Amino acid sequence: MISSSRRGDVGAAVRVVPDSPYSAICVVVARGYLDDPVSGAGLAHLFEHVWFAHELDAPTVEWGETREHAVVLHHVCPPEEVPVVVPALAQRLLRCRAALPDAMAPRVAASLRLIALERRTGRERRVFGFPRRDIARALRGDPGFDPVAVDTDGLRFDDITSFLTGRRLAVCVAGPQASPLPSPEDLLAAFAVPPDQDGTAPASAPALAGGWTVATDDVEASATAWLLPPTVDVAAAAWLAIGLIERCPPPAGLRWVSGRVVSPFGAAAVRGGHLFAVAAGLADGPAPDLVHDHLLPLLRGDLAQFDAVRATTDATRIEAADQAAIDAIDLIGPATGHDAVRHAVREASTDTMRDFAELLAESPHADFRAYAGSRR
Amino acid sequence: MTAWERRDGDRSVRYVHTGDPQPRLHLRADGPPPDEPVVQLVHDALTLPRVWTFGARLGEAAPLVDHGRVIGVDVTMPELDPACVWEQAARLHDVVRAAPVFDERAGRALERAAAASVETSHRLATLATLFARPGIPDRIHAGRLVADVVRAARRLLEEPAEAVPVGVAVTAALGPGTLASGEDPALGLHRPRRPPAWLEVGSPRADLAYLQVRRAIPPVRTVRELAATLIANQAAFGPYHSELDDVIRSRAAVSYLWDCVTDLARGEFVMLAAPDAATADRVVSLIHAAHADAARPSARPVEDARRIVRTQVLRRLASTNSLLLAHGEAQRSGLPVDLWTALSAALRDVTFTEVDAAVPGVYAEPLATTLVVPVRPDVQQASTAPAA
Repeated sequence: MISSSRRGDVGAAVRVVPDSPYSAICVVVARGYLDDPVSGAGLAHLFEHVWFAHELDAPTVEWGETREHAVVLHHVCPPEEVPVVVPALAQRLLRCRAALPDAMAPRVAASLRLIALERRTGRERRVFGFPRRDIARALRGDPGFDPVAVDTDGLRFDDITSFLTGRRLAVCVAGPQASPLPSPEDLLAAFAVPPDQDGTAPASAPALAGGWTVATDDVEASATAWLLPPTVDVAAAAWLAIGLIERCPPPAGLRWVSGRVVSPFGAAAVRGGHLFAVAAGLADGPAPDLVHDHLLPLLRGDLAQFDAVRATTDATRIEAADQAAIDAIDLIGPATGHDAVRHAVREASTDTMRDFAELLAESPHADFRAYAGSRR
Repeated sequence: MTAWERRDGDRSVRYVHTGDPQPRLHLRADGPPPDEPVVQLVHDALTLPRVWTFGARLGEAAPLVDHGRVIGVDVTMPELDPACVWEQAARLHDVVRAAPVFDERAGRALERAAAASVETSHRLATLATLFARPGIPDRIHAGRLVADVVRAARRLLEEPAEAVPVGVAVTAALGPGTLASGEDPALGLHRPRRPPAWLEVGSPRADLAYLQVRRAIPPVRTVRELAATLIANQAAFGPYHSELDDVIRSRAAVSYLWDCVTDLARGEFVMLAAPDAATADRVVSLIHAAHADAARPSARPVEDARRIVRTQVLRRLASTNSLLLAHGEAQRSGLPVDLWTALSAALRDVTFTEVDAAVPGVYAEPLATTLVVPVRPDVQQASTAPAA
């Protein structure tokens, strides 16, 4: 059960998650790493860190994600603490927008130091997994792009204080019915922001295409990614396709196969479409073509597992923290709507998957290959 | 979330009502803690595949992962008769109780498992600390550590008299149930063997340094005393705006990672940081200074710490998988079946006075530091064997 409201650039939603033992408050800003200016890469990631560097009058368990077109700021707490945490977050938002340079400087400096360390935490385990960073490079059209790094040349404090200007903002609360949930209007009042120009939605970009090679020391792998139309049916089919891929053992020549979609629940369109990707680890010997020898035959085949996958997908329980984020991302749009996608999953048939296979076969895509040093 | 348990010398089965309509089993083959690293290596290399084969016959099997390590098999089944689970546990015990025999294939499996066990600095630091014995050098190399652990595992397999008895544990999710009321059960937390006060491990894989600073959980008699201790520890050393977190991640900004894990199975707190190698000594100094300071928190930090610890516990109960993992941790440590419901309630209800009374115990436990430092691959390797 969800109720939502919008005032200007700010959207708010409250959803009851009946069995959740905790509550979540998610704040989302409609500006991610693909929206960073060419000369200011990393600004969205820096904002994420600066958000957490500002004091919170009621500390919570909190973490952030800088996504393609959104900074997602998660906060979770015991249900009865929501009335304390919401105003504390509204106060933090005010600090982010209005901090004076002498208050902002140490926070930006600390954030930049932590980001420099964060970049190095991922280096010790150079096993090739799902190529999110490489897909990000393709989406950005820059082979050297690093979504974690911050370009500090010419960085000014008001790049951070004005980060939200003209961007949509959403705040969503998800928690159990027994908790003192606020109304969407309460949230809008707490998170009121000065009127900016209209919030902007991300612009569309050319389709994802081309071949990308990634050097890696450890494992040889391949991946293919598509930007598909952002419709409810495509989102549902992509979600179900992931379940089918996971139930089907990898064919000879592949060690593992995995499917992902950046907008698995219908939210968070990327460059105006649904970003869907499959990846596989290659075993020794001749490797099959991941798409034409495995994925498309799977989706066009007898789909014996389809009913089981649909039932499992339909029964997926989403935790309050994820639910609050999905609803917030839905609000900043453009989005197809999480509840509509869940409905489409229930209505889907094997024909849906066959249509999806044809869509994949006909659509432009980008291929990624990661070669082990010895086999390059 | 009602739960009950049945156990004998070989098997333990814990039944948990999770509210999830589909039954699930978490299958594990393990003995009581503490896990010796050599025993753990034999388990990962040679026993776990048997558990997997058994689990895959029961239903849809997936690796059961806890803190990045595969510890068992997660099986989803169309239906489950609780009476049969006890029998399934007996059959699983039949499958895993025969000690593995050392041969060439087993040797390769041990080497693979050992290599995996040092893949990250966290796992390397844990292995080095648990494998350490009095008299070992205080500076060792990851490669030498792996070789020594594999050699010790091989010796264990070649000496049938030293074979380790293996028990099995099944944690079963049964479907909807009612919420049990929280009381204050008695606790018997394990007291960990004291690790070396200082241990340094060279890793050719590491880029940043990595710190684990251990402190035993002070003796507690009941869940309520444990709750007071967890809040006192969080206020001083925990993640998310504790005194030390504010210093390390904000004021000094010397580590992207700051966490303090509560390991109920081993009975210790483990503080974690990942600083640059050049500033690792400074982070160690900050931790030791905060520990020596033994500051008593006032009411506001205690309320903030209560909010954080309660949230962490409530999140562990939020999904079927994490709930079963939490019960599995309590199950193998011999902790009560109502630990989690009682702890949730105690964290809400424990008073400031009780938390304040727990503070001296938190600071009374000595610190033990394990530091992983990046080294060039050609650096000299010291043995982990105790000096003669």
